[in-house]
Amino acid sequence: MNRLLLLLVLLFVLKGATFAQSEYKPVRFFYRPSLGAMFPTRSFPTNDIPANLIGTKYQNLLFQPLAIGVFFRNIGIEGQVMLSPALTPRDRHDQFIKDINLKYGNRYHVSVYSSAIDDYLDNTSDPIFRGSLGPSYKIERNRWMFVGRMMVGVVSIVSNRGLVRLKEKGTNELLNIRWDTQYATEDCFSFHPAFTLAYRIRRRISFNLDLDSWFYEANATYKETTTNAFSGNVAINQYRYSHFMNDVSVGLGIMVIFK
Amino acid sequence: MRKKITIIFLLAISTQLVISCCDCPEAHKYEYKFEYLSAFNLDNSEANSVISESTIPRNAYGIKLQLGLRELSLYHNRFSLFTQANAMCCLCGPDTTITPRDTITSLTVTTINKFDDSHPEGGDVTALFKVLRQGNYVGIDSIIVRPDTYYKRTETEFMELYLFTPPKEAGEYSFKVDLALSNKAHLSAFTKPINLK
Repeated sequence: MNRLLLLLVLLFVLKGATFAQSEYKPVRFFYRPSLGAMFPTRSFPTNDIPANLIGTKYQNLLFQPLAIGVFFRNIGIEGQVMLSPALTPRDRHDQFIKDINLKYGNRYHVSVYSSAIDDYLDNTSDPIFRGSLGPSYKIERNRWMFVGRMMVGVVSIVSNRGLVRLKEKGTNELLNIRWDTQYATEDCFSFHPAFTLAYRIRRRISFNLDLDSWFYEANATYKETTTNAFSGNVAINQYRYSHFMNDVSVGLGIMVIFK
Repeated sequence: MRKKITIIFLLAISTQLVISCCDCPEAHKYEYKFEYLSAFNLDNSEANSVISESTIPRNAYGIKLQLGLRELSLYHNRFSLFTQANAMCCLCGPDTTITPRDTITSLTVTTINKFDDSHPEGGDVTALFKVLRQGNYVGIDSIIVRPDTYYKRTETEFMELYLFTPPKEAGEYSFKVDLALSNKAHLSAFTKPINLK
């Protein structure tokens, strides 16, 4: 009985909210921070050791400190800045060690001095920076607002450097292997469709549910330098990654309506 | 009026500069000499080398040298208007500096037993060893040429020599290490006889 009463009250409130006469002016200029969860749907192949040094795999949090937009009637333009760090930054370093041991562990004692160690020790990761700009279209029905965007921008992927020391079991032989990229971050062009469902609770405040998706091609080239510590012989390999990526995020936030 | 403000401003900046650049504590400067040398057999077959008296694989043999240092004197700084002149970068130097009185002019390793056909009993086998420095093996000569690499600010200094041309045959081996110093003094040490398999 109580549940039926609650349902009736909810329906009454929703009906009132949805079909009531609009008491608010259409949104024109707004600021929209949000917080969400990131789900990378594709990743670099993990069987390559340096692929673990690229910080795209374990990102699972999304901060949107800045998103500003303006509408001219229903068509508008919006710019966003987002940061996506990893909630479990140690996983990437753990995977790196696993892959190193898989390849070299039978013959060598492995000591890892990778840049991902910083993430491991601090238990925080370098966030991936995202910036997007593009046109938007809104449909407003009383307190509800639906916004669709087709933006383009940049996803700046982090690439750590790696260094391992391999001491051969039972001998004095020592190998040093390092993996380097030319740049610590690589800016990748991204196509960024996004949707927002907003419900206006005050004249200047609304709650939002965001659904975003990024499509980009992540390019990174790792140089693997293997140095024999005794002879000084150096062997160089290159790992070139050009991988189509897709990240999806779901976020919750507020919209502050200025005008 | 403007001139007065400028002068006061410049005075304040100059005072701040003088205070920040010259307010360094007096550095303690010590000098030491090499007093003794000890040599130990090293087993490097595992991830980290350990001193060992039992059988060691020939390919993983090394010698650990212990250089005993003795403090000699405390330097007396000359009188200066400024306690320490670091005016260029406004950074003070280290509180304590310990420097060696003498330099190492040569380090030789000789084998007590016959090592192989080219290295009979008492033969010089220095070239068969290398020193591990910052993750790389370097020749013993390069350590002598660049003494800064072994002058540390500790009371005892260690140096590890690793054998890279092992003897062809297993057996008992022992080595003598000689250290010649710039003051014409010599320090020497013997490793305990060790079985290399």
